[in-house]
Amino acid sequence: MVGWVALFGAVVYLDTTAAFQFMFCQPIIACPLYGMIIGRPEIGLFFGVTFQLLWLKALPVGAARFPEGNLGALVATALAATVPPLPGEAASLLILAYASFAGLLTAGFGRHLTPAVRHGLRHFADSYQSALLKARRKRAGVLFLAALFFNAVAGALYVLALYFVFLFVMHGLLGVSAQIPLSAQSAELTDKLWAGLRPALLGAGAGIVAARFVRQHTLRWTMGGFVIALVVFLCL
Amino acid sequence: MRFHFGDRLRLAWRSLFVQIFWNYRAMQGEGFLFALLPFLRRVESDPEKQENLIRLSSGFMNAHPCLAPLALGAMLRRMAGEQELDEHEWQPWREGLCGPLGTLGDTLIWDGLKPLVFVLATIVLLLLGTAQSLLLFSFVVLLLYNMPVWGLRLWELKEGWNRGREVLQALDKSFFKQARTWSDRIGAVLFGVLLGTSFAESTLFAPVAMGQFVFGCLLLWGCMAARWPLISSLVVAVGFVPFSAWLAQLFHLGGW
Repeated sequence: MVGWVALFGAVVYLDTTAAFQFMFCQPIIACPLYGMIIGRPEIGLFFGVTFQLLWLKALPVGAARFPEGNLGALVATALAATVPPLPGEAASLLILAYASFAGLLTAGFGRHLTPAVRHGLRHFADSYQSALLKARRKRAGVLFLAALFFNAVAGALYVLALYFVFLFVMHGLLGVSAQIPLSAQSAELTDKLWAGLRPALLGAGAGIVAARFVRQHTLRWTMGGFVIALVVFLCL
Repeated sequence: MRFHFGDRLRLAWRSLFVQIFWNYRAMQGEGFLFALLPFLRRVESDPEKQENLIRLSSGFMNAHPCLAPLALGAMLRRMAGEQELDEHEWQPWREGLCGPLGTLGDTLIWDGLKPLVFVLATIVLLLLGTAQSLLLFSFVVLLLYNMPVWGLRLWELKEGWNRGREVLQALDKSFFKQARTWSDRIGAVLFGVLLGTSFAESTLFAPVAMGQFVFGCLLLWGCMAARWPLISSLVVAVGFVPFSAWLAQLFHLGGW
């Protein structure tokens, strides 16, 4: 599982800013796929859907610092997936809530990751240019691959570091692990408190979408969409 | 030098790496050099002049990664078409491209296409609610985002190559002006659908959960409008969940 976390961390980080930007990095793609690979697709779906909307306003623009929401969603998924499901294959809401907090904090600390990586890339950039000026094309090719690798390793290490820290805290704080899963009784008790986790996260995501799209001149379009959704739901 | 469709594809592929060396000195400068490198050899065979082209390609540059091909096409055209590039004019011209290409890319892609595609994907997953056909779903979503982006990249390379120095005229199209208006409208519809779907999906018959949804929505909307830190706002939104549940139990409100 640790290998998958590192691999997904590397690919997600690369795809977020450094290269490709095919949007594989988006939580709604990366988290369900990770969940599917490790055999917990429901966890991947939960974080993919609830975390996707949260980072729509955090744009990787120029030199701006932005929360690493994609890595945060991945850490949340990886953490929650370490705890075995309750009878009936449902995940405990307490675990999902803990993983959500861990994901948000991972995203928040991630603001410092890209600037640090970019300071490190200065060395690669200077060496790449000077290699080409000296007509050392092979060395330039190696430096390009090294820069690619540097970005990937930064993403993988960051995800692994935060994953292990939060896993350690989960062991200590909640006493939960793969060997000692949450008991059905305590899950029932805590689930009452955390029943609103998914609506709250979806609501927060909806608020972020609203901040982007809802204006006075688009209100009637919003109303139209709302009515369509309710009609479709009631018809189904 | 001719610029065939194959060349455009190759340059479009290499333009995916313009941010690979991103640093605070030249920003995407070396990334642009990487993208243009195989073409510099075709433009100039004299090693000394090639060295000059390498220097010119790697100065300060920053553009939206999806709009970078427009600048790449124009630079290549100027390198291939002009006998002697004036170094004093070249760098200010390049830097003059940064603002428009950055702003338009942010508006069109980061703030337009990307949220539209992924809000739509979220709605679809909320409606489906199952883990079946996840691979197919991911493939379709990625296709939905990448097809227009790749179309744009190839168009940009063609326009950049055709217009050369006057490349910014390519952005003076009514399409770009209308794109913002229509992305706002479609986004507003999608927000309405998202609102309806989220209500219907889990909270329609549960007043407490509906309250938590509305609280999260209003809190983040307000925080975004007031430019409050995103992470703190989200932590408050999640932290409110057990508190509101405790309040609901205290006042005997049914919620689930």
